[in-house]
Amino acid sequence: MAGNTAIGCGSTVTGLGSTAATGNVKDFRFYISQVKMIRADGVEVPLTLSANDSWNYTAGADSVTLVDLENASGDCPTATGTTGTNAVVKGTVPAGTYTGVKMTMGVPFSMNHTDWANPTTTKAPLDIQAMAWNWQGGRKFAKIEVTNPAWTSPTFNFHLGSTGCIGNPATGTQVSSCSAPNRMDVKFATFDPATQKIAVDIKPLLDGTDVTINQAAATGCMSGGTDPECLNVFKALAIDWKADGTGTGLPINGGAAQTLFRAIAK
Amino acid sequence: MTPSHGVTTQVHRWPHALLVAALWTGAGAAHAHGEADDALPPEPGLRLSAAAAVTWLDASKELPSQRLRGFLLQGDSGTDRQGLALEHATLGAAWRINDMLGAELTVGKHGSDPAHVESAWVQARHDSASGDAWWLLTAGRHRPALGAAMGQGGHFDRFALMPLAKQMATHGDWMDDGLQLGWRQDTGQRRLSADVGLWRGRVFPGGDSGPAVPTVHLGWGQGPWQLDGFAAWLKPERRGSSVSANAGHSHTAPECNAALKDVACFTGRSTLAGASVVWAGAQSPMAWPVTLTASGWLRDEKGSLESANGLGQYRAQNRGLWLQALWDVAPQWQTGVRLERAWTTQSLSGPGATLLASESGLSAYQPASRQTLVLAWQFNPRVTLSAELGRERAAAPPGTAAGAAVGTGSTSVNFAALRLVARTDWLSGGK
Amino acid sequence: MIPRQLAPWVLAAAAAALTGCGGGGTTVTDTAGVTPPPGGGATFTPGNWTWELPSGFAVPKVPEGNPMSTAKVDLGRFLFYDKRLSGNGTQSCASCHHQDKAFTDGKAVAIGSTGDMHPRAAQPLMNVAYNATLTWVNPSLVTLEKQMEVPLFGDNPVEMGVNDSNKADVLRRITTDPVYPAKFAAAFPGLGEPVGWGQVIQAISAFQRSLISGNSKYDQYTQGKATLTPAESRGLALFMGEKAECFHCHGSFNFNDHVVHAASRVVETPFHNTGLYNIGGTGNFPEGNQGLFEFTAKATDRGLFRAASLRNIELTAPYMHDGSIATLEAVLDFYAAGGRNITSGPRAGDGRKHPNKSDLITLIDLNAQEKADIVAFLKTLTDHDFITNPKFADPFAAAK
Repeated sequence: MAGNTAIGCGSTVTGLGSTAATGNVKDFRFYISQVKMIRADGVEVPLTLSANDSWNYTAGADSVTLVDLENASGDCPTATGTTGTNAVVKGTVPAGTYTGVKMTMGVPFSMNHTDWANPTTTKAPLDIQAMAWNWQGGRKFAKIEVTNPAWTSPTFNFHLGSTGCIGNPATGTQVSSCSAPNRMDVKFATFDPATQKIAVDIKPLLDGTDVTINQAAATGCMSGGTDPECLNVFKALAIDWKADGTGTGLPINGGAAQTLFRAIAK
Repeated sequence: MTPSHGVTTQVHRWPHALLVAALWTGAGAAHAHGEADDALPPEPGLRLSAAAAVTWLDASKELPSQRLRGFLLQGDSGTDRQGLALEHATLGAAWRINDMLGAELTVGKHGSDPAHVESAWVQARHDSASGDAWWLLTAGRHRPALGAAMGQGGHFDRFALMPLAKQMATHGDWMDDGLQLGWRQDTGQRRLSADVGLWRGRVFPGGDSGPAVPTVHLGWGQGPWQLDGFAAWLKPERRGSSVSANAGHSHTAPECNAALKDVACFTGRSTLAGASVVWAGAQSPMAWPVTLTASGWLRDEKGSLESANGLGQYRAQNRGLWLQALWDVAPQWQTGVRLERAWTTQSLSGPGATLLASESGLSAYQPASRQTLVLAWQFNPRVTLSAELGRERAAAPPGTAAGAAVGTGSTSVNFAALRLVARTDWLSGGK
Repeated sequence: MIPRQLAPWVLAAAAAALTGCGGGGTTVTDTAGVTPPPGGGATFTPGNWTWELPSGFAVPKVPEGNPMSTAKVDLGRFLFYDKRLSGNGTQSCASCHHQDKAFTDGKAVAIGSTGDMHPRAAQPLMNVAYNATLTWVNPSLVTLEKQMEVPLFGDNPVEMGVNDSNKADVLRRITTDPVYPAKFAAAFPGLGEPVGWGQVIQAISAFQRSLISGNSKYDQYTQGKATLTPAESRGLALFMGEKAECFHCHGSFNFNDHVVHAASRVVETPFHNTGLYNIGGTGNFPEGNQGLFEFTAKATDRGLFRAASLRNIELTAPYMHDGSIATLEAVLDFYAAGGRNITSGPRAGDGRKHPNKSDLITLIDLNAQEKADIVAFLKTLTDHDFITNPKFADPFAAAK
């Protein structure tokens, strides 16, 4: 969404960022994991995803779904985009009365750092090259990009992923820890899946940021620890980020103040 | 219990012999018993002593014996003995409180290292009813009883360089914190001694931690003969050996940190044993002014050796011995020869053993040997000037090859040394 | 009781015996690389692969999931030199990794198959099996398999240019070529699924692991098979000494400080700033090349990179992560000066004053003769056998 308008590849969006710029959608994908339905009595019950398929994957207690709102048309490149889309996270919970839902935008640690070109070790939807984040050995938790050749910096890339990752050469463990996990927590205390859906709105994501220029570091915000473009983006995600690079990458207050997602009527 | 007149006489006799003999052989029959035996003045009172040995050594290159590459020691480069240096200096205070109790403190210094407490102990003595035997209980930092030849070797003795066998076995002089019980008997004809001790075991070949170290010593002497034997059982845990290519000289063991940075750590059993035979010709019927000494050491190790690069099961049988002859050619003049050898048969097996063996120097092992001639002139009771000529051979030092490259065999170095040893003491009260 | 008269002679005889006894020796048995699989079981024999390692080299670490075999290494060699492995079919791995240059390309920075310029130079691949982390700086890339995903599939910059839309096609070029099916079958016996990118990456990784270089003039010298000239000897002594400090960061058997091998238990992965840049005195390095900072966001990590192996350094000009120093002599000048002072242009700044510069750089103190001697020594690290070894050469060239 952009505001109240549904968008996708080929959409032109106005009012982006601090300069109210106009740009086209170039990519719009993200991973959702660890969905839990909140019961009326407050207990959080994990959602069991349907069987593993090209969008969903469950291994043990960890589950992940790729929400893919781009279809490699318009300004979404055919080389890196996919024609398939998925706007659904589907699963089951034991019978009961549920009032809310919470989830994480991100890939669970146990799945995040697997080799993604090796189908023996990595299953869909973790095998999408474009969602891989080679340089930190993990995945891009979100890849949302807007573009306009007229801008000083033509594309604003929002790539969310864990930073400060180190591997363990002695054990060959690809990544043993990351100093800033950067997984976003989202919670809706009241949510009815029968009548509502979740909108992901790029306008609040880009609020307060001049998307037409690149002040420093990566073009856009690629979760860089000191990238000035990340200041307001991470505020929208309610993840702790500080301009001097000391942000913990942990959700602030369970993501209470996040503005990227909201519940809307179906 | 006050000593009887007989015992007092005994106590007097030894120090006299000690003063003369110590200056000559340093390792002669005088120190046949535990080294803490005779440091106290015979009568209640305080003895202050000072000793210093200054050496000027000339050699064509760095003496390979100082590092003793190829043996598992502490991995440091050893002292560079070339040039003029303070070999050793000590300041001591020995206080006999009464017939039964005494205390001692010695502070020492080597070269440019900071001064350190060499020994600090208290001793209780109990004489037996017969008068020719007594017990000693010593607590504090002192040397485990080894027998004079082994104990005194390298410690202000006739030769400037520490015997290879002692270097191999205990990385130099062995002083530890502990408790030692000794029994002495001197019937005039025969001298017997027995000691048992229990030590902290933090000094080489002990490690960062480990159980207390028991030691045992037995000595037998008759006429010109003195035989001594000792054994010690150590169980070092995490004994560090520096493996950095350029570990400088250090007297302290490198730390076995969790990151295993620049260090290889040994955990296991280390058994020390030694035996010495001294024949003091002056006391034999032939009255030859020759003292012959043979001393042998072993350090057997079995355990695990680990570094960042590997882990292996390590076994070693380190051996060393020296033979020495000292001849008092004329009043005030002594000449002598010492022949020494140290060798080991060791094995390392496990993942990464290749790099572990090369970085800890084990693959560069070569047996070590040394032959030294000495001529000493004691121009006054306190001062001795000596000249030495020698040749030694040991594994070539690293530093000419990077990282894991093995050394290229052994190197042979001739050396010459001039040495000045001075001792003095001052006694308050007592004789 | 030995008669007293005989005593001296007994001891003298023992003295004579001294020289006879006591040889001793050291026996070393290295079991690295022959470890049992997890959960116990019989000793694992890695295929039919035997490491032929130079003296003093450790056994390389091989991931359990990708054991070495001669068939796999052979397949990897073909894939390494195969241009069809790139999206547009113009580049192979070997396009930026030339054997005669110890597997780098002689350029300041590498250029991808679609013309994208990489911010940094292609890594030389000799002894890459021992690199604890890969590339010029990346604490999270610790296996060759993982690293390979970057040049194959990366899009910023595009290197080999394989992506979601063409990866199936590119793979088909390989799997339908008559040369390959038999090679894949031999390299991956009992593979229960069709050949995929996982196998391609594993085969090329195995080939890379086989690129062992350890027969330079210097290596021969350490085994007593060659002698160094006086200049080279002086250079060696300087290299290992505290005037030049080189060995601190370039001191392992691989002449760097970042080694992992089969028996490694604790691995150090240090990164260093040598004072190459200090743009406007802000401590910045050129954008996109801020080194370790790009991963950790810590200001103290600006400009930190991995010290490269100096083996074959004579062949891998230009030098530094961005190829900004052209010759070995200039490199020595740079170190002796304590860093680089750029006086004009967009990158102007005095690198010698960079706050993160390694303390060791400041201590380097060399005159002209010493610098020349070190360069002479560095040239002894060239392994001529390695750069001409047919086992590592282009199999397609033979056919041409």
